[in-house]
Amino acid sequence: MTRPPMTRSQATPTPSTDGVAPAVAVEPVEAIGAPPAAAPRRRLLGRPFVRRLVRNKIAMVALAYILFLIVIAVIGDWIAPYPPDAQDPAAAFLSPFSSGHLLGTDQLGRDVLSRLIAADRIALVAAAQALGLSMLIGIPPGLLAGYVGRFADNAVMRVTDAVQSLPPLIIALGIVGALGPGLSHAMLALGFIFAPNFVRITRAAVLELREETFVEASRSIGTPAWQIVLRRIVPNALPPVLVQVSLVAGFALTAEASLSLLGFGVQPPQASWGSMLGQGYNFIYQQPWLVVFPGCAIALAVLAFNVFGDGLRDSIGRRK
Amino acid sequence: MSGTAQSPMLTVEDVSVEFTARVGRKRVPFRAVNEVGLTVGRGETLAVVGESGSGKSTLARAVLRLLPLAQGRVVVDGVDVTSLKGRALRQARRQAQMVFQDPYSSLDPSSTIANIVGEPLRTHHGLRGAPLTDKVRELLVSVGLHPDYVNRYVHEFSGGQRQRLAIARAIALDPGLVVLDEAVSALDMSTQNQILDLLMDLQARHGMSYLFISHNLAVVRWIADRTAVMYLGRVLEEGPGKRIHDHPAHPYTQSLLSAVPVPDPPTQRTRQRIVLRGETPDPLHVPSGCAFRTRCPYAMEICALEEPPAVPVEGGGWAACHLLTGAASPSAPEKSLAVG
Amino acid sequence: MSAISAEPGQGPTGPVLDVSGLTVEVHTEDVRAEVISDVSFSIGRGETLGLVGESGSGKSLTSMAIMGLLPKRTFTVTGGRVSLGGDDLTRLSRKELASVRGARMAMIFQEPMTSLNPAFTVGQQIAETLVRHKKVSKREARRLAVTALSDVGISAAERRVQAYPHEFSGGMRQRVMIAMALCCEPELLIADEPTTALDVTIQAQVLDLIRHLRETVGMSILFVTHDLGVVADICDRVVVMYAGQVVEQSAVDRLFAHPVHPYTAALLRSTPTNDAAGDARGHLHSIPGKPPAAGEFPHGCRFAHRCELALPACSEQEIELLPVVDQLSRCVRVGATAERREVPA
Repeated sequence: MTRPPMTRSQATPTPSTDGVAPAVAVEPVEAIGAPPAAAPRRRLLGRPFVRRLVRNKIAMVALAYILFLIVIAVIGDWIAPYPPDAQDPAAAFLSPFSSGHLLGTDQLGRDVLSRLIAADRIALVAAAQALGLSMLIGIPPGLLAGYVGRFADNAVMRVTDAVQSLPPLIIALGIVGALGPGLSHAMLALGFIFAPNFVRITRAAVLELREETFVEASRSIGTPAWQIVLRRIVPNALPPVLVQVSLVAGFALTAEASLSLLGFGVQPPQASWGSMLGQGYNFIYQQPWLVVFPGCAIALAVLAFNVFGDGLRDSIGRRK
Repeated sequence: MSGTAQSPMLTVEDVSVEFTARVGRKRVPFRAVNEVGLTVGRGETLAVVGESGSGKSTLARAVLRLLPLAQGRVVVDGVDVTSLKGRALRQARRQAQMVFQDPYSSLDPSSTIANIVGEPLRTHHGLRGAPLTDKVRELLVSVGLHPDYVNRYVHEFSGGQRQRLAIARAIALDPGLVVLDEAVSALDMSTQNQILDLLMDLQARHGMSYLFISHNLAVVRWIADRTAVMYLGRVLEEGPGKRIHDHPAHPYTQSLLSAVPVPDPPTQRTRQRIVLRGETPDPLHVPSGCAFRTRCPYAMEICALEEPPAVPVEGGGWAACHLLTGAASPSAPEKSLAVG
Repeated sequence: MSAISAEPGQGPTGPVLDVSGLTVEVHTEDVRAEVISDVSFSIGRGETLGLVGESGSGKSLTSMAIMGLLPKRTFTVTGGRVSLGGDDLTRLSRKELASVRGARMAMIFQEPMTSLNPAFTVGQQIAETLVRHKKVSKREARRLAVTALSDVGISAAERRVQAYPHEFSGGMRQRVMIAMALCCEPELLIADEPTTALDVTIQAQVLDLIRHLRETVGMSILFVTHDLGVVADICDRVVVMYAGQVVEQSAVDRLFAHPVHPYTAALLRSTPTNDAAGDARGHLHSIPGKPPAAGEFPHGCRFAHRCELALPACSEQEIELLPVVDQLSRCVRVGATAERREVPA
């Protein structure tokens, strides 16, 4: 529409955008309006996803417990009353609250509390190893399958289906059997076993995001596909992936405990909740507490991860 | 090879876009856009108006190569972009940008304004960090937003403000053509006007062309230099914006205008209106001859047999209608509530 | 007996719907605020009242509050009364309200697809309403459903009655919804932006249909919309809402010829279908700024900070809705209109 050349700076009360008296007029253009209100809370807390999460009390309790476990894993060496391997045959099978042993001792007189603390680090490290590997080998194929589609999608999903159809623990045993026992080998196996979870969740998130208008906008701008995936798709796919991280952490903990219980995970004299449980089972009549404490430790940790994962899932919600 | 100052900014020649629909167990192809030809001059606004199923949004996407063309050519600023690929296509995109309809889904919720509005600058000029932020601040000012918004996230903005952001992003590279796909349709009336004013301002200052897609004729009359009316993937009428609004030649255009209620009760109650029969046919079963004939109050025999030619209309432009060729006289318009 | 009665409703004299002092609060995790403040209006028999406002004005919430459809978890009616034909709806139990809804007052929405159950045929859905409220047999209800569909202009009704909602186009679904709403001959029809999502040619058809049915049945309508053209087309009286309050009430001809509230005047000026919406220099009239969100309503007049005629007195105390001859206006400058003032050049 042909209009008279720009002489608007003087004239009509032109629309200001924020409804407050016009402030800075850098160019002779419509009044800009007041500067934005003082920068509110920092980036992370500003997002509605995080606000909803923080309001979820139970999830916050679970998160607190997880952080507690992490802290214990870090400072465990300093707070444990005894070295976890210190044997004292004379003091075997002590009950909880015995002098000097808050949670009692095992068949070799080792302090249960100290061993639980040492096992905490093992559990978390193991979970982190399994998680890290499964994300590493699960997320990129998921991104590829979701964004590129067609044959890439087919190829990735058929492989994923194949891997998921194998019974997990048997495979883990197989791999450990081939490579030899040891926690790291067990976690390697678990990494492969849990990867399909990440493939699927990433692919689903990408499939949905791919249809978003802001992705179409990036394509219309001419942004190369890999940049679109990295800058537009991945950050928005984070919430569902985080949920998966929390849940898989729980699975990994249980799996590690199971393998160690069967003797295929940590090797003695190292302590893992699972191995403590397995050994303690042998002495269940002499000292039932040997089974209770490691069992509770496993259960609480897995519960915390699951509850937090549920809280994450609930707070994702739909936009608007 | 860039066009001369007189050549059009956009030429759409004989463009068709095909989709497939699933009918029972078979996949049936159909044309959402059928052999459409349009031009947009430099600094000009061409409005493309149509209802749902008209193919106008599909055309907009095809022009930007977001959808594949089944046939035809698209020439932007003298460059034939129809078959470009890779780097050449990316280069060509600098000249043609888009503003989308939904201000709530067209901006990435997880990025800052700097990264969203600055994306074209990052992609094409490699700007990052402080130089990028500075340029984005300038852009924000030019669309009427305070530059300090540059580090915020989108969820803090209203619909009207978001569209300003979308416009800032679209003009970042100073393109010759901006395609606006129902860019104001999701906004309140008053905000619509603000945004339209902004668009007209920017056009006066930068001289870019607009391809303005809309279903709302009322809005279009204020911004369009020329208007094209689409129905079932075809252009039925085209001409100067004012002529189309004041003296529509095609029965469909007339009924579109007549259907828009006028905000003046005495006038609205007594005006002569054309209420069409039925609904837009399924694009899988486009009527033979003139696609509009099943709803046209003046349909004649010839309308089913031959596609109407584009007949020049007094006042500028043309309309594809047998009525205007001096064929047999039409019967009086029927008014009916029955729906097919 | 036709599904939609040809006789105007019999009943007591007096307004069909009387809303007085309706006030509603919202409470979500982030906010607790008033969204509708002291809204009052009434609708007479056979009258169509337009409820006009932009998004955020509270017009849709008002219509939902009247129907009793606001989710109790987030909304509370903190004041006022809604009476239908003399009965106070705010005093009814859920069960009683459910029997009033559908039978004596019905609602049609903007998105028919979300209010029609995709798992049942349209005939089944209409029949279900009839059985529940009219106490007819299932066979009779099915017959009436066919009649209802043809009354709203759907041809081949015997066949179409067995179709599912997704088999209909947008305009047809609206007709189905209208059929469902009217089959029990309600005293009041609440239409919440029923044509906003429709193509303009289909909108014209649906408005024609509503007008025709209104004449045949004689029902009252509360028509919620943001489109002033639609208001001019179908309404008898108009209530204008802004930021949760009623700011003006007028007969429809008066509203357009002589708006008393500056917001109404500004709205009329910015309507694109208004030939005067653009000024001589090609700029479009618009109202600067944006409406305040619930919870951020300013003191005094809620429109003051965007109003050309604002005075300091506007923000000092709450403004009453006062009569101006035959209209009502919530403005300190009762009697003055923006028309009489020169827009600064």
